[in-house]
Amino acid sequence: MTWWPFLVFLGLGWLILVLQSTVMSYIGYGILQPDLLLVLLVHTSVHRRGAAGCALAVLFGYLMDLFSGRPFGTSLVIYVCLYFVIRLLSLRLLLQGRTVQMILVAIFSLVSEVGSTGLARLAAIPSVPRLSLLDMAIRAAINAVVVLALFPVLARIESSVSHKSGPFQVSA
Amino acid sequence: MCGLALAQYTLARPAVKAKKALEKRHGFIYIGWLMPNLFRPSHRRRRLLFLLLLGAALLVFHARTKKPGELNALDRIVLTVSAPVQRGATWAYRWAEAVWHDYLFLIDVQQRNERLEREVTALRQRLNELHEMELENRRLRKLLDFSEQHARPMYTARVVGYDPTSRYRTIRIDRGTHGGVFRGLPVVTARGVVGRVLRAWADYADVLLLTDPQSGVDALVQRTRARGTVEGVGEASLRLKYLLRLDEVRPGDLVVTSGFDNVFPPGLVIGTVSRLRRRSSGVFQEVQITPAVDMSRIEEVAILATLPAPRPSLETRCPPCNDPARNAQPATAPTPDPHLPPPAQEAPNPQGGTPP
Repeated sequence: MTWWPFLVFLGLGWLILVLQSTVMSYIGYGILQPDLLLVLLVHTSVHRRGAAGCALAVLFGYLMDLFSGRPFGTSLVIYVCLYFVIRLLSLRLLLQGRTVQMILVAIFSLVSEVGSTGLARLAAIPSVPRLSLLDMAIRAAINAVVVLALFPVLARIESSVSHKSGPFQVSA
Repeated sequence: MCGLALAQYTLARPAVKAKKALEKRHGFIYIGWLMPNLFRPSHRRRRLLFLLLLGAALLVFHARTKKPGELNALDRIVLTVSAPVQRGATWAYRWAEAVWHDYLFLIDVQQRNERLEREVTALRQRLNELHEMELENRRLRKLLDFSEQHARPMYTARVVGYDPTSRYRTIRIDRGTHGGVFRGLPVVTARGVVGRVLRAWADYADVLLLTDPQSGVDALVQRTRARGTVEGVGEASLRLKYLLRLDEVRPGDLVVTSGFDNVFPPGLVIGTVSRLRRRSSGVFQEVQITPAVDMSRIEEVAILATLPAPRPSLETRCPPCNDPARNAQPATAPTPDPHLPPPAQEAPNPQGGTPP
């Protein structure tokens, strides 16, 4: 029984959030800033199933809520839903080609933004930041482009930690 | 539940049949996307797990929405571990940027005269450090002047991180409850209002910027004393709401805090009117404001250590008169924000010292 792969991806998520809240804020400009955690979530949801996948989705959502000014719990709900949507659709084989990966990440990015707004509206949270559909589409496109750089790195990390066996093994 | 089970059975059955038919014809074929996992009769545990997790997440969302800004022990641990790393990352980035600007641009010169270049670079770096120190000194001096002007104790803090989402506007500063900072305290720079403390823990705090749509400040147009509420719009500009259509405003007018919200002291600069739109009908006019502080370039901030005392009402301000009915009337204070700590209290300082 080993927790190593799970901890690696959890640490990676945390590190990405730290970078996103510091270095990326300086480099990025407004909506031109990618959501790396979402890309990581899509990757882990595809490759990690069972308890590990669920736990990662929950913890990523929790961390995002802690790091951002979003109403607490928004990311938690969105990430859990995204994880199960990905598992539900059994996207493992569909995510083989790079173009397909990019399109799916863009779609999930849009869903995440729309879901976040919808959830805040449902809970009647006042003054939800407005983000036009164009802004959402631009962010989705940026996240899709990030896939080109991030997915190969994640695949290498995945292959280097996946030889470990235990409850958090990579799905077949 | 029965309906759900029936629906799943109805949906799963044709999918199973289709899969078998395809497998019979073509051998093994993956049609997972045709038959989603949730509809497979054998995946009840997954369904249950999903519903449980979703329920728990919604419960957390509901509970935390009612008490925004409150942190539990786990939150504090995660934030306490993360904030120094954010600080380190910010420092590393600024250092790399400084090296890039001060050193790497000069590689060509170094090739021509290595010794001289090294000396120039070292001197330049030293000069830059001194210049940075001088600028910092100036900024801190302004903050000090500001504190003396407003006769209120305050704390200074450095910005160590920004909101990772581009949608919300918060910053993280390196002073928390141990330094006397708590939720609701106003945050300013010498140029004007920055925002207010959203949450605070041990040595760090998050500040909700004025440009975030969730923030609001009671404000006055300085020239005409017209009153409204300044709100963020999620971008670099602000919006002055509830300003009556007949109130006279023009571009360039200075907008300051009114002090009626019991958070910010009166007279702090918020920004200048940049654009206004007066419709032919309606009660209010739309006014856009350019904030006095560039929120993307804040390095140090000052946190005003106490919340201002409620403004006295006219009864308490006017000299005592002979009208017994009027004298018997208690002075009414403005209703404080229920989300904020009680006003006119000295900020708790566990270290016991006076604020810097």
